[in-house]
Amino acid sequence: MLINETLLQKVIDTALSKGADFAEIYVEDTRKKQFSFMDGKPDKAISGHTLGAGVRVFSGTEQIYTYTNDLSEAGLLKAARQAAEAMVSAHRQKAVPAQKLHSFGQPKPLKAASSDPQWQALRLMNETARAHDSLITQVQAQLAETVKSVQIMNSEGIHRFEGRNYLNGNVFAFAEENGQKESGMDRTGFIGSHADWEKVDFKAMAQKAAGQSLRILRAGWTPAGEMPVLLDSAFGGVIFHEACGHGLETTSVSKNASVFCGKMDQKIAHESVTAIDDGTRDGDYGSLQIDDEGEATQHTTLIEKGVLKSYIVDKMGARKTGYKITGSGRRQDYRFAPTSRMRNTYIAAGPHSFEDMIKDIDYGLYARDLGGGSVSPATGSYNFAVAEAFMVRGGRIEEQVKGASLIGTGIETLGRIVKVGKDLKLSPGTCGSVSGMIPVTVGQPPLLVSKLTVGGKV
Amino acid sequence: MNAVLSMTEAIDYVLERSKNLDLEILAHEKKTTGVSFQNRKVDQFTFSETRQLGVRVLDGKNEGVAFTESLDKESLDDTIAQARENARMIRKEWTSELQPAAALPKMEMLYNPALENVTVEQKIRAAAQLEGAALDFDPAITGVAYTKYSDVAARTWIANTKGLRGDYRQNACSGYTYCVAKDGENTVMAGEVKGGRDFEKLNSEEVAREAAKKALARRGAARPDTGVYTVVFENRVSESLIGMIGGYFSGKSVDEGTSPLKGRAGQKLFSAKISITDDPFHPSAAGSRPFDEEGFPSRPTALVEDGVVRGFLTNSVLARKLGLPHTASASRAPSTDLDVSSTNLIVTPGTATLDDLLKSDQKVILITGLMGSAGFRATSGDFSLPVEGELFENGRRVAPLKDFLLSGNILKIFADVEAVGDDVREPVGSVVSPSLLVRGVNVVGKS
Repeated sequence: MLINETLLQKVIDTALSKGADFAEIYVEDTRKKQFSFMDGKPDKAISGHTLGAGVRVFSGTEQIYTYTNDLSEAGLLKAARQAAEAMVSAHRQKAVPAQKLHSFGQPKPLKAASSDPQWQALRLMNETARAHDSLITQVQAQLAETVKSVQIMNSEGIHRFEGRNYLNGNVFAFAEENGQKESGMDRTGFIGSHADWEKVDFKAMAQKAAGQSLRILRAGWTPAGEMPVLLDSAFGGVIFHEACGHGLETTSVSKNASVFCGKMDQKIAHESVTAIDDGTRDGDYGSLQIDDEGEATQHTTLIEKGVLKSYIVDKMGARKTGYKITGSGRRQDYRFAPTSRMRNTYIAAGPHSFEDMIKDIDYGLYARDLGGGSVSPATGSYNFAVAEAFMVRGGRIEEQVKGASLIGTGIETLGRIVKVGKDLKLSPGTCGSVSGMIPVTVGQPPLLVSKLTVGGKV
Repeated sequence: MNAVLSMTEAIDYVLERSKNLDLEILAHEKKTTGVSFQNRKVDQFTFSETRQLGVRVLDGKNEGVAFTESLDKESLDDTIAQARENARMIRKEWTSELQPAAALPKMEMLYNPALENVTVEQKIRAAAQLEGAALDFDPAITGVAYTKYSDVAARTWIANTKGLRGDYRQNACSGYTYCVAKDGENTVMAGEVKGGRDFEKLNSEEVAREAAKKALARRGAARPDTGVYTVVFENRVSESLIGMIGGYFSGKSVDEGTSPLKGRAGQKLFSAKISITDDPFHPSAAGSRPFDEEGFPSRPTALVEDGVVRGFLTNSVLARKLGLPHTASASRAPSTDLDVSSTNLIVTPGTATLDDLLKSDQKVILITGLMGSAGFRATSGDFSLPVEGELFENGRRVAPLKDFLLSGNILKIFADVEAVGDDVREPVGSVVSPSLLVRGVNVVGKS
């Protein structure tokens, strides 16, 4: 436990003292070590200690959030008083006493572990990528280990604790030929502690990054136009994350700033689409025992056979929309008030083989690996970058083309997912939104979208 | 909980404990306020007080970094120990040297004491106007998707065991509003943002009204036909494009071979109309600072002059290693290792008005917004970027445009700039650029 229960109760009582109807304190202690490799040698070693607390109070749908990294009794009570006094709502309510508390779990102790395995892994990635081809001129690789402990108490009787250990890393390979440069990358990210580095195939990561940089270097531009696109599994799931996921968060829905407002129980996607947001998947980067509001995380079916079944709902989102919370209140760290966010979000496997999907494309694009993307939930317009793609003609995969961006609008695209493949894969990523950068996974089996706008060469 | 020290006490303590080391401290203290309204009620109110102290230990050719947010003696001791441990792992070919004690320059303009006296009530009123004035502007505005008033006051310290010690304060406030309007079956959104160090000049009603006007003007947008067009990048979009190539001027990315400008100093890679300066003294841009994060006094650096690549940004290590002028561009946060970055990237304005630029050809597309930057590949400069815009014919606005992309190479775009506008706006971030006219741009819309 980071802070003793008596002090936390005092903080909750102080926060409630001016008429708030809900109060919460979130305490976080995070230790992170980052190591990176560059120019063929160790380049950086950084250790950090993040420590802070956030006090949140509600009055109706008004939310006050104060945060500090002064965790002394005086510091925490000051934050609580500040929150209480900022309550400017006209409808102040009578103070609600905190309910009886119960505690869960204990933090995993921090262990001083040797960093040798990380340096070996970084060295291996560097050597593997450089050995892949003489055109590889630079390799950057980094690994980070995060040990995060959170403690959450609120006036509804929740007092919970969770230790979260994350491992993540990436490798970039740069290829150069005739003055042209390109890069390729691969990444990993999952829940695990020091000993779990051995689960990662670093050699494969480096080979993927190196191979990708060379393939892109030699590819021509994608022709521009509207065409069918086959999005491959794993990181291909970024399409659902952007096209739909963000628009289902109550952050947008409660402000009437989502194209999915008012669509509950309506058909919003092709019947082949079932989409899940699941915080309970063992070891996946976006998994949690409890969310950052102290609620048990859940497996949430968002869309079932094309019909909208649930939004992604946090505590304030539940107050504003009337929908039940889904254990989706998340935040980067104590500097952010939590809000509704995705966890591990994917489209469920369907009946089609890859071959079955490719053969339907007369002229189109096979997007093998995707980059990042973004969306405006209010208008539904989204975009994402394709890292590696191939032209498809007459049902056959032909030449590789340089990545283009794909654009569309959420509801239109969901209606155009005409075939869903069998082979579901998830891939880790970092999602940025109002409550900061958080670990998530995206995923899908291969998907055939009948028409998307491909931003290539005119 | 151990006794928490103030930042100056913590710095004294670390220096006292590290007398026999070469150690540098970089520390921040920050206070913020944020207020947002939704449906004319307070939606979220945020206060914060945070701090971070980072140390960089130099031990011969070895260097290590550690930081903490906990200013008690035990944590500070632990942070020094962690940095020393990290230093054992990292051996640099070219090492830093600590700046000896020197009087560091001041930059009073970064801090406006009057901003500290703005009351919470005034901030709430500003936040209310940021939403309310947009909702009141026109019944066609159906909502405000994002809005917030925020302010920040920060203090930065640098100190080292050679006796160097300096600090500076800065503060700023800002407000933004993104309005939503119905457009038949569809929804359109547009926004406005304004910032500065003077609360009185923030004018939140004006921000909200501008946002509303822009949202209404987005109604009835069409997709342009795919083709090659003459394009004007509006100043705010030009700023984003300049921001995307900012890293190309980093001496570090030149050293690492990841900048496409490596080995091309002295070459005319940009249009002769383009000059870009890294200016740490700009009175209102966000990146101004009196000294860099190694403690060297700031100075301006010409990066591009009349299209010719003139300089790269360096810290003390890269200047020696690459044999380049030292530009005092060291950048570091308490939580990061020594790097370089630009302060403010300023594009020299031209003489053409925006209207002149839009009259350049019979048909011109004005690009008013960049909808995401994931489609930019920094290594090659190739891009495929979703944008918003407006179609002009003979200088007259014909229609708003949506759902299209631009594709090409960013260095080619800057090489092809045919005219530079005179229309720089009050800075919102750390890049200031006027509008730019480019012919022959790939536009991907309707097939």
